[in-house]
Amino acid sequence: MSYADKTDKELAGLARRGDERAARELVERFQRPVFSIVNRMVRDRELAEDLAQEAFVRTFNNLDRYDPSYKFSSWLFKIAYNLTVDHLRRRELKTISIHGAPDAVTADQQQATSVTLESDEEAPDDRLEALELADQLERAIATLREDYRTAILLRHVEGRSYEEIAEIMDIPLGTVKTYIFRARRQLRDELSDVYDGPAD
Amino acid sequence: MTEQHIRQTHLTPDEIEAAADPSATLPEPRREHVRACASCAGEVAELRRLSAALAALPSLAPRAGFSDRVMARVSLPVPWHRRLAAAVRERSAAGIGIAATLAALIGGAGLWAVQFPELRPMALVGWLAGHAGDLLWQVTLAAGRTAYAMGFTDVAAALQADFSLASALAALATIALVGIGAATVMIRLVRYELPELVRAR
Repeated sequence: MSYADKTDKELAGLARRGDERAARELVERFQRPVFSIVNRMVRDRELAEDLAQEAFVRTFNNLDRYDPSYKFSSWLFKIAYNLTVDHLRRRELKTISIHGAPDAVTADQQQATSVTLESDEEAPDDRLEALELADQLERAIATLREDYRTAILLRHVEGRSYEEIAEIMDIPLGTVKTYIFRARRQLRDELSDVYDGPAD
Repeated sequence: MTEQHIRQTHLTPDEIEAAADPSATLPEPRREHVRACASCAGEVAELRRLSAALAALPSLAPRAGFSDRVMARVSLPVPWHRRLAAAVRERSAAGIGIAATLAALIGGAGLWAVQFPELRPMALVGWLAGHAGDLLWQVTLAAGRTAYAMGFTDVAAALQADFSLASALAALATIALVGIGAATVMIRLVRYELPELVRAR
């Protein structure tokens, strides 16, 4: 069985016994989701990459503390979330537009703090529409409180269950539901212009 | 709660989520309410659109080489055989020499000890049980006598000339001490940490 066919738990077990290929496979498997969520939280590509990298390093360097009864990905997301929140609390990040941080002065700074949108859509019109919607949505997400933002991204972008989100964010299940409910309300209000039309 | 009341009451947030999720099921009376209530139907439709838009958000990728950069900083637990091999590679000749000398001493002393039938393990244990108190005195006496007579210049000859069970046990005690020393060195080698991992940490 190749490493790509192994489950996260199997790979974590192998990495725990010093298997570097297993650890690398886990990095390949989770680098995008971890980076995506961290980047959407901090709105700074370079910083997001540093934090995501640190999250993986801490995860692997503490593998002996990993409890295999939990999902490996939840544990990894929890470490990434804690690191990001600690960083945000230390630096009290200002609300940042999708086109870059408000304090970004040079073109390089603006590029470093902007979110690059990609789409797999083939038709140019569809692609443009999807990009516009995604752009609006990214802006709306950026206005959310950091805990609302994390909860809704974990739920709807990463497809995590409420229980997993409660575990990752270390908050009660009811609080997760409240955060997601409020986040949706706020997003709906922010996107009212986009959604003011007949339902599909 | 009557069935009519169930049909008339607006959906709770959990029910809206269940109604918007194609994989979840909502009881028929509540589905009936959604069909009849424009407000709840609107909530469900809005949630479906928002969920779809969020799920369609692009997955962002870090710069190329991310996994290499992570792996360069990771220090995974290293199996003992790799640590030992690296220790042998990295350690000075003196360390390996000490370990080899101690191992040779243990082996030699063991060979010497098996020449004496009275030192068979079970016999020795039985004798120790009966003469534990006397043993210390005999060992001390033999060691003192040997030291006095030979001044440590020819200990092996003294032991051969003045052999007794007590002096043999004294030799065994020496072997045990040497063994402990060798084991300590070996454990240190086995627990040896790869320098590149120490640096990475």
